[in-house]
Amino acid sequence: MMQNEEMASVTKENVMLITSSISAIQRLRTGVAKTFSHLNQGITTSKDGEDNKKVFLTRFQQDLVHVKNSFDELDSMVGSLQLLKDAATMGTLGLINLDPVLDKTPIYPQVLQTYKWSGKLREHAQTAETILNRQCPKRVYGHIGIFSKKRKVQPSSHAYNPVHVDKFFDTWQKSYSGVEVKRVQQSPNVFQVTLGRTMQVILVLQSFIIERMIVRAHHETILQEDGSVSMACKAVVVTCICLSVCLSVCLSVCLSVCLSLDLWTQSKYAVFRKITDHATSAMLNFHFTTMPELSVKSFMASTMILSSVLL
Amino acid sequence: MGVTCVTQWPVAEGKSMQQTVDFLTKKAEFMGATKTGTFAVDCDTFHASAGNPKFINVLHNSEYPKTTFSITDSNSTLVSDTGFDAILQKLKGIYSTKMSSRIESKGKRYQLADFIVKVGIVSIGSSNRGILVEVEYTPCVILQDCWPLLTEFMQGFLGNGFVPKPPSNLVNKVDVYQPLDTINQYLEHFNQFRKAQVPTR
Amino acid sequence: MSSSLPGNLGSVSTTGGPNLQEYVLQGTILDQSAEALVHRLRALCDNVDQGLETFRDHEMVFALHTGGQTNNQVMLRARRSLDQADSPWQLRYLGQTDLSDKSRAVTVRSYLDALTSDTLPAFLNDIGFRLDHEFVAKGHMFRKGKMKVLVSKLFKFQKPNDLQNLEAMTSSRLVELSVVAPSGSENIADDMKVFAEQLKPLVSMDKV
Repeated sequence: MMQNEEMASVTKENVMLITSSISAIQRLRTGVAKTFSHLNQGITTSKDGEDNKKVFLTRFQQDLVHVKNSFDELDSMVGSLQLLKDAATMGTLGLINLDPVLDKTPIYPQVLQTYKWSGKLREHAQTAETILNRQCPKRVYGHIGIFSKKRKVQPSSHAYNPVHVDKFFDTWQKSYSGVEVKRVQQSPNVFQVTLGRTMQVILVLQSFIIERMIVRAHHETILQEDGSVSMACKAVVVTCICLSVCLSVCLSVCLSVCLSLDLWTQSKYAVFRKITDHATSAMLNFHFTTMPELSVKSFMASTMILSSVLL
Repeated sequence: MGVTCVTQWPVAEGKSMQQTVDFLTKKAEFMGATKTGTFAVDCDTFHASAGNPKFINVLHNSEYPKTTFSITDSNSTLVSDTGFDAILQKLKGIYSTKMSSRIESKGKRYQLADFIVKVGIVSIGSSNRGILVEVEYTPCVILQDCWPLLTEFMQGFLGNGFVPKPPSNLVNKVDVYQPLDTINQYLEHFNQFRKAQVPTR
Repeated sequence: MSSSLPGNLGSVSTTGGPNLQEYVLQGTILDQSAEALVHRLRALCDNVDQGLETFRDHEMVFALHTGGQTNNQVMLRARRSLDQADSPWQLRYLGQTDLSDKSRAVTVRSYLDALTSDTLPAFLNDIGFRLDHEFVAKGHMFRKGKMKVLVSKLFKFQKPNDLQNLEAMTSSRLVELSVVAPSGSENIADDMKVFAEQLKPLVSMDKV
């Protein structure tokens, strides 16, 4: 508080000083202008002869004295202007413009980054909110455990340990050749099952419950360009093409920014759309609430048969 | 991108080349294929000047409109964007081509589910030389996995007697099928057309 | 083009777009001062909000003697990124410096490029080109509008194809300011000159 009051008074004084300095500057300017006009146009006097010269000189001297006085006045006013202490309102940030070129404090890019991130975070939070409002994420069997405590907790399919899931797929891979299962890096619940060199099944598992399943061609990607960023990337690519060379740079930018997991786009090939349909019905057919592991097992077996028949 | 088979098709007895092509395209339409535009595959041959037997075949495929495929007589290949064409122009003193020697296959493109069918008339300069039929099965990139299916489709389209042989250089290919492999098939056929006598019809 | 087909097929084998030219200014800076220059460029250029953009490219320069009495040769430059192994190769053709206008402040030469598959060196060898020299350029890339600034250190190979043991060519770095634009864009030269002025006295950029 003390500091604030002090600062306010300093600012007030400064404002007054600056106003009077401005008028002092105006006086100085008129003085200088007058001096020059006298020098330029001369002084009209009634008398003639030597007096004329004398009058002119005295007048010139007066003018110069006037200019000097005005200048001194201005000088003293400027001198008494008080500096605000380290631009206290902004903290150390206030010093950023004094940062010499060679100063390597990373604060500026960090602040910039933080600002961007907070903007992004808000944007994402808003989108998440609208989505969550639209669809309630609670599951039916979730309520059983919460509301009817008297009942014995059903053996939930959620109770399986992720390690157990991994083990299950490991043994699967070992017992069948041509099957490769791996967790997708971007999301721990998504599995990419590659069958031979023709098709891949993308499985979203909640423990042992299959939430979503989609079949695509072996050479189709499971990553997609992220809508918002991809435009920027395209711009980068375009500029890079304009600029050429420095291939590494533009490519690295594109690869790091654009890709996100795509679980929704259907395969562009009719055959895999058809297989997706068949596999979906197989998934529903083999669904056992009490034995989730068995349903995944049956589903896997059926897709393998599908793949061998259709291709 | 998928596995492709390119094959020559004889002109039917007592018919003109255009009539044969029309017959084939009608048949494709009858099978349920829809027309999805036109296509062209062209090939320019750049010969080295002054007694040097070296040459470069430069091919374009409308399926990959921004790509240039270059294959030399000793089978070195280069896949590049079309900027390479302009660079070749700069080597004019060393490698040159004649517009009249350009060979190309042009025609209509049809799509039936995952199959793409192209029926084209091959011409050198302004004279027509024959018919090339291209069938592509798009979902698969491994030749061995889908050749039987491709054969079955082509037999349905071109008649039971037809047995397409996988291109000799691809029979043992275990890698993923590349657009360049299609171009190689075209080049092989183009070379045969060049060597063949000009048909009287 | 003798194409009589409708649609966009006419574009299948058109050769190149407009005539492109490269406008270049070059300079050098000692290693110990390079950092100051990089800081200066960070302040001036556009692409700095995502951190410094670095690159490490391998360039092979191929030459083919056209024969005849004159000792003419055509040069083609094959360049690839070492940081991104799966990125395409780039083939560049640089024309002779255009000397028609002596008053021009920057070097102007015709410029063509194409991205290619990794068979490029073998292909060039096959069509008669021979490796003239090769080097690795490592450094930073900056962008300012259409202008590109490269601050790079050049390394030569001690043994062919041995990327582990590189030897610096000099104790200074190459600074290159360039724009690729359709021919006849003369005001670009002025923009470049103005920009180069801002890098003084750290580095003095001049035409080659």
